[in-house]
Amino acid sequence: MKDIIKIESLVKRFGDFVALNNINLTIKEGELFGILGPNGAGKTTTINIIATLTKPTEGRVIVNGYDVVKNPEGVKKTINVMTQETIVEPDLTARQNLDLFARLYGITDKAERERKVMEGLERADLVRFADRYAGSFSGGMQRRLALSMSLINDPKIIILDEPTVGLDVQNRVRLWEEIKKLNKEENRTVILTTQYLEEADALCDRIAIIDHGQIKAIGTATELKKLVSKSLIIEIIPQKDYIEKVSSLLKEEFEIEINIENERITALYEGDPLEIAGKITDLLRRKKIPVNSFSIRLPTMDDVFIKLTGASLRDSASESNNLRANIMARR
Amino acid sequence: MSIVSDTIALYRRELLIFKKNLITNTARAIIFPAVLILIFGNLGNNYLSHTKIAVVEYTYNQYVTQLLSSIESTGQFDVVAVTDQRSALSMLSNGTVDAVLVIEPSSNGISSPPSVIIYYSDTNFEVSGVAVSALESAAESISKSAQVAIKSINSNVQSSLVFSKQISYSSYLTGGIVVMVAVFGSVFGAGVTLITDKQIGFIKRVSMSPANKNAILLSKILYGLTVSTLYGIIALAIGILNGAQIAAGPIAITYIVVILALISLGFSSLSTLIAVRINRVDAFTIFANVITLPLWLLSGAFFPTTAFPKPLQFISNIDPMTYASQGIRYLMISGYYPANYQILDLSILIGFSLVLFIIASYMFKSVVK
Repeated sequence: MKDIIKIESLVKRFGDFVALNNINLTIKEGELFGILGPNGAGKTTTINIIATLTKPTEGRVIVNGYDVVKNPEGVKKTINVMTQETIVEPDLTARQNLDLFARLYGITDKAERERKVMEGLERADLVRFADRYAGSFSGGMQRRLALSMSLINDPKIIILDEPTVGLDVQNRVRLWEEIKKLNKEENRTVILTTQYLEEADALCDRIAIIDHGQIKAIGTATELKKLVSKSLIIEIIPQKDYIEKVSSLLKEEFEIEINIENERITALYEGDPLEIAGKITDLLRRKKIPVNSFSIRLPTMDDVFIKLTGASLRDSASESNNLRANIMARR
Repeated sequence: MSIVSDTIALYRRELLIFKKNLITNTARAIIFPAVLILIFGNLGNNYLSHTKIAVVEYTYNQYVTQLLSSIESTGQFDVVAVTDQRSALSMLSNGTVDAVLVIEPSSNGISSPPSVIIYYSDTNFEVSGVAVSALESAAESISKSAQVAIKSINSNVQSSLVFSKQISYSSYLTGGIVVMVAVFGSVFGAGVTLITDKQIGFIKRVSMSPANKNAILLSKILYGLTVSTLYGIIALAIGILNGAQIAAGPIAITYIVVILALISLGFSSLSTLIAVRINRVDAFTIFANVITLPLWLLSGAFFPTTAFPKPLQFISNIDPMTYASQGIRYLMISGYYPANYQILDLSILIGFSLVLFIIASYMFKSVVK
């Protein structure tokens, strides 16, 4: 697969503050690529540079063969961005919003513009609300409209900057489906920034973890999880009265460390998951122990994040927010 | 992308938003001028100022008495008796009086009608024109044999339109209010929407598109220009409904619209210029008020600038609003817009608008990067 975005030794400084420190990144055509990091890690700055909104201090960024500094116009025709804030004009209807951006993206032919606008309305599932003002829409509807507006020029690369922030579960799942469709069915390269570990885990082909303006690791979710430990996590929730019995049985039979928390028994295990699964189920069946749930899984992205950045996502976010507040105060 | 089609797209957006808030916008366009014109234009004495004339009597007989009483009876003049011609003329040149009436020493004996000379300042045409014709008819009415000579003197009197008996204060006020409404409409139209656009991220969003960035500025200024010219026309209509007249005839409305468009262009540019560096509407309002309120009050919107002290007159002379309202008043009140004033007013307005437009485009580059 062809490299569609190449970022080489990218540095961005705002005064004394180093927002991006020597970023190297390659994104392949057709990939669903995630940039994961806490608030203030440099996700939006990276996106703004790719979208030609901010100029890099040092380094080179090539998007679809166009240099973002030398040929921003070429870049803009290839990509589109859905910004972190939902930017729709509340005093225009859904149709007028789409029409405006169709015009700004240079679709001058009236029939073609109308077709594009209709496509956008259908995609956002807003055909029934086409002539209602966007200001009267719910957050989810506005976000869907914003996404449709970002696809009006049929971009090869679509950048989604924290697309699911502030959405309820229903809307989030719906947007995830939409993002998968953009990537798998419509063959667009999707770049997604997020601060949600499960989002990156569920959606992205490859993930870059970024913190304090530096890339800490790049790889598939599985590869990243393997960086933490090769161990599997065994999780058993037996019926209430059998907790003690199960833990002592496991200790005796397999000589593993047991951790009990909220009626949930967890243990780390290195080896073949199928083999241990068979052994444990056999054992529990033999002893006639009723079990509510049983699973064997890899470590989560949260474990990965703690390992790579030395802090959980939440701690890291508040730390960088403090840093940012200090910088703002100094200005 | 072409700057023209992008500007049209963005300008169309502004108009659609304007249309969405049509009721609020119309109410806003009507209330402000209506209140000012209806209250100030009607409740005060509509004939606030009379034309002042200095009368020098070198003869005193029945004809002179008749002349003076006929002048008094018009109710149009404030008559000041002055003993000699020289001091009367100096009063004319320093603007204390608007015309001088000299009743010549009678050569044909004490009981014959005397010759009369009317002096007026040709830099104060609008007032003197009215005064001269009234005086002339008064003088001629007393005696067919009276010799009436009309002379003009060049003086340094500063020109300003003054209302008198035949010119209602309502017309005078309307001229000022129309300009004020246009200026306020531009300042609070273009700039405020630019700030709210920055706040909702719209400017950033457009900057990400291939659209020409200058189109954002152009569309804002065009929008400010359109809306405030419209507001000015509404204010003019309110004034006309309230009895203001357009002496130059209905065709002069076109000229008034041109003047409004020019002043709106200038102040819309000024407005975007301020809004470029400010990110909050409340802070913008303070700046905009600090600039526009003094300019408005010093433009002679309510009272002629000739009544101001010298330092304020100086500011008034560099205030573009002065020239816009002056032009509109020529068209509305005197019906005659002297060519030299047309050139002066229009070139000041065009110059002002162009300079601010250029500065605004230069400053705007920092917003879109």
